[in-house]
Amino acid sequence: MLKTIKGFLFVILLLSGQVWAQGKIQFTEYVLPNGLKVILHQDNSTPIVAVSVMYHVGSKNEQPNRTGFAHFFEHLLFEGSENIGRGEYMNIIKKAGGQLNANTSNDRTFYYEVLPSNQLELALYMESERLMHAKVDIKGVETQREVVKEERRQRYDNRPYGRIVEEIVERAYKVHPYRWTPIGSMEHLNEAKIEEFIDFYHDFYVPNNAILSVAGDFNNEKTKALISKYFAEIPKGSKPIYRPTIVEPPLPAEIRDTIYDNVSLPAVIQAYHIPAQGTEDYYAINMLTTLLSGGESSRFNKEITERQQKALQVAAFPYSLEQPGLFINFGLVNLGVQPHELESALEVEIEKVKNELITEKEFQKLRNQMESDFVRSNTSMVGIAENLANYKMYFGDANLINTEIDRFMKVSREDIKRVAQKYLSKNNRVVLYWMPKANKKS
Amino acid sequence: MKLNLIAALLIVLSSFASIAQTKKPAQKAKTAAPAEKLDRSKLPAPGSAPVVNIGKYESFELANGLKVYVVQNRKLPVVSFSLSLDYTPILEKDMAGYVGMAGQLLKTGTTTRSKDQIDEEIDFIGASFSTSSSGFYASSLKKHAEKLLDVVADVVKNPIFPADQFDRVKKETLSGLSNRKDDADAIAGLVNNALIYGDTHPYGEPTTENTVKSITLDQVKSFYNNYYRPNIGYLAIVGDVSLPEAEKWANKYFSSWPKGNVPATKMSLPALPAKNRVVIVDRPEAVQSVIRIGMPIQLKPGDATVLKAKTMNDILGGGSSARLFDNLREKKAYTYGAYSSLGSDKYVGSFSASASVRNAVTDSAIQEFMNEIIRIRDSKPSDEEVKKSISSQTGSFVMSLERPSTIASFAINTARYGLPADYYQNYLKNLAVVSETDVQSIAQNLLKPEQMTILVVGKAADVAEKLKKFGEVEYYSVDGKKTEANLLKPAPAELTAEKVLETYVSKIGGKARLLKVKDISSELSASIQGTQLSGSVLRKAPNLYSMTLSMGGNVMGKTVSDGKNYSSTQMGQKRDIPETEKAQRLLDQHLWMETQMKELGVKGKILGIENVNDEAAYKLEFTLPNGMVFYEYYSVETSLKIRKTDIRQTPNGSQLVPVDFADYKPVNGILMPHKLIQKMGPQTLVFEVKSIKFNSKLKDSLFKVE
Repeated sequence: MLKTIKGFLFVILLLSGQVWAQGKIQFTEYVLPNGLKVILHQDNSTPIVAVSVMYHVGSKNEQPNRTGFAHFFEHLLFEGSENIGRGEYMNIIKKAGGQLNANTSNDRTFYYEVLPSNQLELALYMESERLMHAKVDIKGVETQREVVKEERRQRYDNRPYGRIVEEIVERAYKVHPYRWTPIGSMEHLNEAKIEEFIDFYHDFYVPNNAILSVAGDFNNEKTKALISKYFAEIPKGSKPIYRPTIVEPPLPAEIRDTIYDNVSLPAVIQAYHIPAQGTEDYYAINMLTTLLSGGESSRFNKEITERQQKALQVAAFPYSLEQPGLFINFGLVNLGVQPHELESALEVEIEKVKNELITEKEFQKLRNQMESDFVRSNTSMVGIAENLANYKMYFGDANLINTEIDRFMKVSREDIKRVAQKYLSKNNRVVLYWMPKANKKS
Repeated sequence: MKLNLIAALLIVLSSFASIAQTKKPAQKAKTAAPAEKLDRSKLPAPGSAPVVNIGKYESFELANGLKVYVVQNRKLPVVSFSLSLDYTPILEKDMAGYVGMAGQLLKTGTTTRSKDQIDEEIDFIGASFSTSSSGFYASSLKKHAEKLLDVVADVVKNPIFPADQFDRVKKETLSGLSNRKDDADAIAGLVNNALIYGDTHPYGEPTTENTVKSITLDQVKSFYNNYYRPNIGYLAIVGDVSLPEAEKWANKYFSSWPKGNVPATKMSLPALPAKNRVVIVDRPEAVQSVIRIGMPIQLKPGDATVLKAKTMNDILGGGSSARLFDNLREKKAYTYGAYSSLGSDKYVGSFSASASVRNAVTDSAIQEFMNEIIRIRDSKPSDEEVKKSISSQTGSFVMSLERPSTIASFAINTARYGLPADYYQNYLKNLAVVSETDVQSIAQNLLKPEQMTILVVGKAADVAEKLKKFGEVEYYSVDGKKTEANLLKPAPAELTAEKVLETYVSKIGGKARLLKVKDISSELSASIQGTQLSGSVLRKAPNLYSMTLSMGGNVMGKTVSDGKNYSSTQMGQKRDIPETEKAQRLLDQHLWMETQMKELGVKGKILGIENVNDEAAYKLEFTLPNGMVFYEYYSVETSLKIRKTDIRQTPNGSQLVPVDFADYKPVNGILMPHKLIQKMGPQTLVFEVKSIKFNSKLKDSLFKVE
């Protein structure tokens, strides 16, 4: 029996090998003397180009009394530069027929533009201006403070369940900077002096802390020349870059709490500590979350939502980060059900995966889902540019864009059971009941 | 109640909000850079415009009439199948909503597969599959394509529309509709369509609680039998697929799908009003007005004027650098955003301008909308405005070509709308020549600022008076039906609150009879999204009270009062009755409180006549000894109490929650309401009274507070 299974797996690996050869993403990479890493993916099928810069700075690089800085810079760096007037950044890109955006996570900040390919030089110029001498002044800081406050109100404070991640991490982490989220504290932003903003810019917005990733319709050699033209003169950072090495100790015991919010339906949240992304266990954990909540046939959905009707929706997902993150289960309680009943239902499913090996059939389904998701993650130029930069930044290997699936395929049924036993334990978690304010005892 | 939880949770990755930027012109002049250094003061010039090639497609037709379009793109080993059915939009009448429901139900069971089996098979191959009333979308890795097609074809050809799934989807739809009543934007969308197309037009007829309740399973099935036919279908097969493969698959899986005579109806063209219409949907609690200014327009896909019209709309209100945004937000700060949209359609298109503004500036905002609509008709836009718009539309067009599915939609649009074969080949060329004059003349042709429908969903008491300057004000309900203004009308001068109460008391049975009742026991039942609740309410003079709410035999909540204090549990947890609620609760618990308002220290006042659910009612205001105020409504016609408002503590502070009384029936000679309707937030709870008993000699111990 074991032999057949192994033989079977071997065939699948071979087959998938063929598949990747077809969808393989070709790229060129090199480093400028100032330390800027460059990745180019040439694809001339559509006359567009995506230009992106990923900076290896996120909320975990912030000081505990200055949280929200990394995200704040994502806003500030659209204010303009020595050569780009205030507020003109977006207008220039729109006039050139392009689109732009940016986002910030705990670990990195990502900026991009997508334009018709004859505007490649413009996009490179715009990104080089941002890196070289962005406008970091009191006027921009004041403007963006207000915008970020509105953003915080709209997306977190004034939105049902909007503060969930914040409430989880401040209980799950005691010392690691993951204990705050990228939106950070408005008080910290208010207190910060202009010099602190300028220092942050000089500390982290340096070529040796960035990856320029370009994908689309261009010529490699000409593009290299343009990149050199706009980026080579930017000086390398002179200081070491702050990268926290703080290790979060294990939780002493389970943490349970109740949060009252403007919601009409209670929710149940469980968050378990898990290892960093890219570790061996991480891949098994990732598949475990798919087993529990990926697709309408997943265990949580079929059993808890459709059969028992204890929840309107249940999801399990890895809150995967560069350093050890969390495995989060989130369930929205159905009308007339009590939160603890939903929690018990979740518990039953977790115990099941800890005690019983998943069936061959379910395992095959999981592998197929992982494979399908992996292949489909590279459908747009901007998506490819971002994925290449992510793999390079986190794992030092951009080619994982083609090969990371092998790491998933190495995971066995036993691994899934093992990681469930190892990480989904009571003492390794935070449990929150998210309750309607009306239920609060006055 | 569908929440995208993952999205809600993952907003930690916080995106830059482009429209939240403030705009400032003025670029500092730069001193020239040294000669050997790069001159960064100038923007790099664009290269020569790229050649835009629209990818190739192939097409063929099956014997049953299914038209298949194939776009090969081998970048990824993925293939997708999408079907669009081209039928004349259906007037659903008193079962409005059944067409959408049929699309949802398609994938919930076939003659050989249960919903569980379908879900399992789709997930097993890591595929995605969704269905709607106008077709389906399915996609998987190439190597699983046939397994996917096997399920998809089964669902398309052999659905059985299981009754239990029908019930489930109906319930979900109804709870969705009850949420809509609290969503001003959703109301505006529905009423706007009813107004500009008319409520007897497929684009205008509203789906309401009543129409959804009337939907029958047979009607759903008949939609499928009549309209889900290959001869009106366009199937796009896109991705890692060759023409011979596509032909093989299409034949194998879809050739046995029988064609049928699809009913074709004639679509009527909605008429424009003779002059501007002004309509209010009254939401007395609103702090913002949702404004929609719109009209139907004759603009079909592929018309020579489409690109001019799109450019015109882009300049007027297409985004955060358009005129409406600049005027209403940046200059006047009336709103977070103001936009316009203009859509072409095979039958009838529409123009709509919209914004949400605070109550006080509603009329000023409408005035600015009208000014901008008039301005784009009265004068040419600047050369720069036109160039910027063309450039940004060109960029969007080119970017859309990144998705191979775009090529398939171009091909299908060309066939569906009878466009010239080179329509999309020439798209950018035709866009590039749109001129300032074109923009002005198309604005004059399409936009009729004297014949618009101006809709405001908001607080009539604050805004109605000021809207009169735009035309005679009409009122519509949240369901898109014409109604009366719900403003307070004066009550007859001689009428007092005491009189209204006296009439009510004598109407329901007379004071003498009422006072003989010393206790009341009633049993109630309610249903929330399919879950049955039962309630038992005990009351004893003067104001002892006990209420137990259970579900399936389990007690969900219990509140007991001895006339002074409370003990209350909810979901097994002890809960305190908020202080703000106590005074009115204690009053309201009195048997026949209406006979003893004065003795209880409550001051009553008649405010006027207002409509409650389309019934004229006297509105009485009562002030409690602690100064808090609540209202009751007594029908002008029947004298019965049809609404009271309870003071309730909510997350947003103390609020008045209305409870409606209906279905009065005699119990031992006293008229008692047998239906209680409570609306709290997005939920409406309807309690049916199952039984009422008087004078069962309830013991005081039943009302003991722990």
